[in-house]
Amino acid sequence: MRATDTLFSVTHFKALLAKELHEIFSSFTAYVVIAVFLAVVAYTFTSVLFFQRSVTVIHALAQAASLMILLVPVVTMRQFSRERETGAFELLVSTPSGELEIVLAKYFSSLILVSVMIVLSLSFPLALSLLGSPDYGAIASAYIGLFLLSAAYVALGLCVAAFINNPVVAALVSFAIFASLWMVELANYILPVGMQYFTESLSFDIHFSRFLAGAVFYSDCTYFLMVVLGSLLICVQRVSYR
Amino acid sequence: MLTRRYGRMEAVKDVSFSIPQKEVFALLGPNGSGKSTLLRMLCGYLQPSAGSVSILGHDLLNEPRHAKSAIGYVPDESSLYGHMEVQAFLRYMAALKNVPSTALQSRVRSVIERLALGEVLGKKIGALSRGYRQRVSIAQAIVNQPKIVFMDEPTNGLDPTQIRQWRQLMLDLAEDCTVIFTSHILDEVVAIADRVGLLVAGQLRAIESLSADTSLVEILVRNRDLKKIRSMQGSAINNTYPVENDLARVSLSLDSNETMPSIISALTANDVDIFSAKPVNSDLEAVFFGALTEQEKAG
Repeated sequence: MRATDTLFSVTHFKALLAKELHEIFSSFTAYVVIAVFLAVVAYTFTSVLFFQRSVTVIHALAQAASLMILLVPVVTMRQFSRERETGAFELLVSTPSGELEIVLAKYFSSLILVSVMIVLSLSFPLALSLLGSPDYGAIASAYIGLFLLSAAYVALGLCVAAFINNPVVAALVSFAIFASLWMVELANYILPVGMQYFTESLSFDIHFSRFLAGAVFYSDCTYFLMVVLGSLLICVQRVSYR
Repeated sequence: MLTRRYGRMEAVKDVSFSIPQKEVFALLGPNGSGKSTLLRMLCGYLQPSAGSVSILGHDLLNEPRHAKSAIGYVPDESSLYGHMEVQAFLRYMAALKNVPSTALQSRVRSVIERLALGEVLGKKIGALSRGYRQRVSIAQAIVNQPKIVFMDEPTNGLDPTQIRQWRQLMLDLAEDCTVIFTSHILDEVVAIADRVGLLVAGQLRAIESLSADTSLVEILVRNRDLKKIRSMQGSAINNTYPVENDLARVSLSLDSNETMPSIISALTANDVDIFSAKPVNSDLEAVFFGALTEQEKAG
């Protein structure tokens, strides 16, 4: 009986992920992205705290979600282009590692960087807890939403990077897609009335705003997870097509 | 029958061949003949538009992990991860090539010794000389002890000393595994290949065995001396092909009572400056230059 190929190799995935993480965290871009993210979120947090005298982190997390539209494309744009430019991708796919592991390693390395940004932003609710007693349930819900939203952005950004070799163009296209998905419900002003449900179902803003309000709905979680799954499947297909 | 199309253009058309184990097989052809495309299909980077590749009985499309476990691929030396250190890169490639973690360290050490990479282990690949990068490229290809090694234009950019070292390495490798390499240089192919497949305009025109054959001598002379050679009694020009710097490569057929030294003596006696001379395989030479002429005519 002939042995059949396994669908997924954990050994390959671990090797690929370690290399991707090493690359991503030894790049200057990663630290610039983290610094910009924390600086902008900190500015929003302190502005709300001292000028509006509101002891909340929700505004800062809403700001963080908007920032992801700009920052995630910077993280994902080079994920395929560098290896394709140098020809290293040719070498990579000549090894027994499969496209699924390659894509997942790139996805999780980018997601880990974004997660580091999110984890570092936990210092703001931590500061709040020293000043008073914030609504931890709402904060937890907002963080779950921010993580799922970021995970969806990373998957979409990676998918775009798989299609477009030029990193700048990939970043711009990702930004356009993220912004469109964030604000798609604005199209209701020009679309027929029957389309309202459709656009609101697609809108990242509407799904995320429910997390910000402290409500974790199964449907919102599923939506973001479906975006992740769909984007990664398309990405694997694209990478396999040579 | 392996075919690869890019839109309407067929880069490789209806190619079919099999290679026995431990053979050095060359894919020879002029630039743009489809050699690299064919090699990329054989190592699983490009998918064929039609046909299939079987490596040690494993179909490359249906069982890619099994098939790719048996191969090593030496791409262009610039295709490596330039930002990685040599040792880290070799360990990474070994892990991706199913080298068991228990044997990983010893396998990496073994290829480091075999390719004499000890001095550059901690250096980034991008900072190495071309010769060292080529060695790193070969080291990663053989770290999993493959049954087949594919090499794409392996001597591109190497100096004569490095080419000599590479040839020796090929002969060493051929003791353990099959080597398939592409080249557009006839001399290189003749020097080390057991058999050669001639690829012209994406089609495999011939597969020749490179047995010893001294009925033909190839010399490199000035263009202006061609007239002298033609006027010499008994000389039979088989083919001429212009090369750079006003030089021409000429192949001469030897008759039964001529030897290579005798024909060289005769040429020098007639004031023909000879830049190089060597015996060549008559069939391959004729087919190769015929193919070149054909491709040039086709534009």
